[in-house]
Amino acid sequence: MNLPAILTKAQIVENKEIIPQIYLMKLYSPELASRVIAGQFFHIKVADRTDLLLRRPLSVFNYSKDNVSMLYEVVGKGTAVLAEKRPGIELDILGPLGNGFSITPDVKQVILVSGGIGVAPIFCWAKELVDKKRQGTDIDIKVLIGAKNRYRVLCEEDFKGLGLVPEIATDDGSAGHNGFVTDLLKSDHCLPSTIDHRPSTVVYACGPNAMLKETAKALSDHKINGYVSMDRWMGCGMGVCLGCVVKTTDGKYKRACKDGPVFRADEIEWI
Amino acid sequence: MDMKPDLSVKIGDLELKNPVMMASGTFGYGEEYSGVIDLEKLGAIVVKAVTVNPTLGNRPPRIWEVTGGMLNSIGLQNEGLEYFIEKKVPFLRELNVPIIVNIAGSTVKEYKDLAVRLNEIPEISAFEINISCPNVKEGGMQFGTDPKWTNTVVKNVCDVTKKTVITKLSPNVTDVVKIAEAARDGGSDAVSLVNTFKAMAIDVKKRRPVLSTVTGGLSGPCIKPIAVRMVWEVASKLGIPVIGMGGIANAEDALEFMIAGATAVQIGTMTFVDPVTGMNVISGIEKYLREEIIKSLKL
Repeated sequence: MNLPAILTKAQIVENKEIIPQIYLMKLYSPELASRVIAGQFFHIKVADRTDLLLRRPLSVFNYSKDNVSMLYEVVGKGTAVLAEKRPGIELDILGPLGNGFSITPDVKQVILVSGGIGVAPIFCWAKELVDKKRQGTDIDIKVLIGAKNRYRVLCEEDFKGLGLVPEIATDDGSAGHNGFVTDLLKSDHCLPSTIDHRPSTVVYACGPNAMLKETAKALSDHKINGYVSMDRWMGCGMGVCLGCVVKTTDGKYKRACKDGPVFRADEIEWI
Repeated sequence: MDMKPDLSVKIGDLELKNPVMMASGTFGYGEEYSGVIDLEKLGAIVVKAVTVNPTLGNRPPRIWEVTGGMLNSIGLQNEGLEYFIEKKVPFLRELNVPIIVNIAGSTVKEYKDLAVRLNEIPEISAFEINISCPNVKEGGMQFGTDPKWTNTVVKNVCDVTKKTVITKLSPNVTDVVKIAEAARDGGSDAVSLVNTFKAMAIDVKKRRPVLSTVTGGLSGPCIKPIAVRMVWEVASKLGIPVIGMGGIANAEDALEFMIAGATAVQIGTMTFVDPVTGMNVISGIEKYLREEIIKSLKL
């Protein structure tokens, strides 16, 4: 059971551009750090501006005892304003929100798939899984990272720091596999078709919608369980406005902010 | 000399300890915000619209940010009347705060059926009749843009309940006073306004509307001056309490509505921006009364 969200102010410790348009923001907040789990997000008030009225949801990338950090991409005016913020400024944060990732004890192999900035929650989850491993849980962790080109590959060193060696796929072939990260997932060395993976293998993915859709298809073909973290425009972040819904296979709409952002891949009605 | 100003107000038979309610559709069923604010400090909670049958809602994208506000086209998504009673009422009935249920139908009979069934629950203090949702194909705003239909729906609800009845009005009409009068004449104890303005935004790159339903409802601070004007028009003519809303972000905004003639106010969109908006409005109104040496809102 996740701890309830709080409304708090957190001071920016660091906000630096890692590669063009990708920023790492670290906040000082023992309160948020003690509550958050991988896959959850913070709903951030980026400005007191009428043209930036709504909060912006950002996934947690990392947390320690005192700090939480987010890895984000400047995609619009909200994130552009956020990128301008200097250390020392306090941000108004609502969170942590959303369900976050989870794992059952019977899982023996985990495959983490990320595309672009989708690596943020995936890295956080990798860190938690490595912790579990250190505490004696027997799991094998594979990491697959997709990016446009070799300059856009994120967090390769961070994963290595956890003792994980990511496999890379780039759209232009400038690093790793020339193609999609889902090609790696579907490859025989990742998901050998001769082995019955159920139920010991689980895939977790975050990235562009097309990547998640393809991931879901691969999982369905191989009859493997998997989870996807969905990125949606959000209003309240608290599950009341019903603005961020995703359609599920039962024909209903579920809230990305509250029922998600992590969903079973086979639960989503992919479009 | 210090005195504690009296913030209480009366809407029909309903006594509120302060005039600040949380607007329907922006506060869920109360419990969602229970960890972040003290619900019992609120004047009242208006829960998300309830329909007889489960309502799927509209296809995404459903929301869009605009300067000073947002567009929404949710389409009254909810799990229906019986689910509401079974799953949502148990939390609400334990709260020491008046609960107002927003009811929405696609036929007159549905409004009546909702009122009959919910009338059995003593912890529900009042109904807010939703005849102003701009985002559903049937019912909703159709009823709220025609005085005769407004009157018929209100009458059918008032016939079956002794609870306080509030009618939530649409601003998408030529003369809101006529609709308000029709609601009053149908037996409504009060009116609340405004619901959202029918509006639209376009993604110029895609050359398409941003919302799946093309148009949606505009809310937030950008609508406030129009909403204040409409509240003033209605309040000066009606003779029953008016509940004002539209982009209230702070106590000053709320006071504008009250000075224009509103007995109470509702906080909507700004709760998304800052969940404590309602709390700040309450304390701000109290501070204002103290500073202006006004003993009671009822004066």
